[in-house]
Amino acid sequence: MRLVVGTILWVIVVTVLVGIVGYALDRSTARQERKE
Amino acid sequence: MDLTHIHLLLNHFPTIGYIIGGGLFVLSLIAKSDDLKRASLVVLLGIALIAIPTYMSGNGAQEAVKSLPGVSKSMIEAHEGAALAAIGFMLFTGAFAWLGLWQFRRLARIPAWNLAVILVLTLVSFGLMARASNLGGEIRHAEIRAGQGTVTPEGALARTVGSFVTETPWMWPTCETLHFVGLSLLCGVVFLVDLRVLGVMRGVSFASLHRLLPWAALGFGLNVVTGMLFFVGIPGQYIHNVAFYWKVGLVMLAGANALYFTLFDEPWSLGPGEDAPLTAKVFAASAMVLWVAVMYCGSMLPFLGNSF
Repeated sequence: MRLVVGTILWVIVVTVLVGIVGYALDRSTARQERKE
Repeated sequence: MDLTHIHLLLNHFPTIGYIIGGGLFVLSLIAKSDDLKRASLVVLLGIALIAIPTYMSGNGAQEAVKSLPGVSKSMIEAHEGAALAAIGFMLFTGAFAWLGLWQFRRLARIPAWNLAVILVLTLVSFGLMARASNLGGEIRHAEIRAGQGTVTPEGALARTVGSFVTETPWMWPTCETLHFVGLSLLCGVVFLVDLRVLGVMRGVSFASLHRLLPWAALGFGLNVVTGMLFFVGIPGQYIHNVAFYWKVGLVMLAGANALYFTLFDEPWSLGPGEDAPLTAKVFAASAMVLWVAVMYCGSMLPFLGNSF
């Protein structure tokens, strides 16, 4: 149980974090590109 | 030549490389030179990549010296822990250096916040690397030792992290899954960019696909972090594995190859409907071959060596 729950939980947490960083980076760069 | 020779060959690069790369970076800020900034970021990124085999070959060197007279386990662990802390910061520095190069390509400048982050990370990494080098020198040079037993705060860091990876039930399978998530992100984006350069989807400009590269960099980062955790967990199953040597070597080459698509003007000026020059096609084709070879070597770890 600990193995399955821990694995699923941490994979989701890290994947979501990577997604947030990638999305924020893309949006902020796109915004600056539009400004210039 | 074995891992001890490789470690002796590589272990001065991170410290000296940081003096050169960090010095150039500080100089570029003072002189407000964009060319110097880019050159220093390439050096910092290159050193971050070289730090990976430097750290890993250290475990091979450890096996060669651990039973020699005058060499203690605590000194080796102190060096290993300090090196792990240093490589962690160096990899972050390399990641932000790459981001700076990517931002320069898109915005014709590097945002001030990123320059500040790179400066702080460079100074911290250099301090940690210098300390790791000094502790490494103490292992075989009694004349520079401060005392008999070397006790450092980060002394047990590598073994603590290693034990956490191997003894926590969910840690290894989580890292395995994230290693594949990183691989999918990396190869998904890199192959898309490479295929465009090779002539597929000619209607799309290179600049549009170049915007996706940070996703590939995040995937690469995920792979490096999880890969390092595997290595720190059970170094013994990698340091005698020929497939692993090839994998690390090919990752270095593929990482250097990826710089072409952000540093050079040739691919960047590729508009919709345009055909890429031959040099760009050679880089794109070799990138695809290199990444497939990295995946092949990763898959062959249990078959060509003693892993798993």
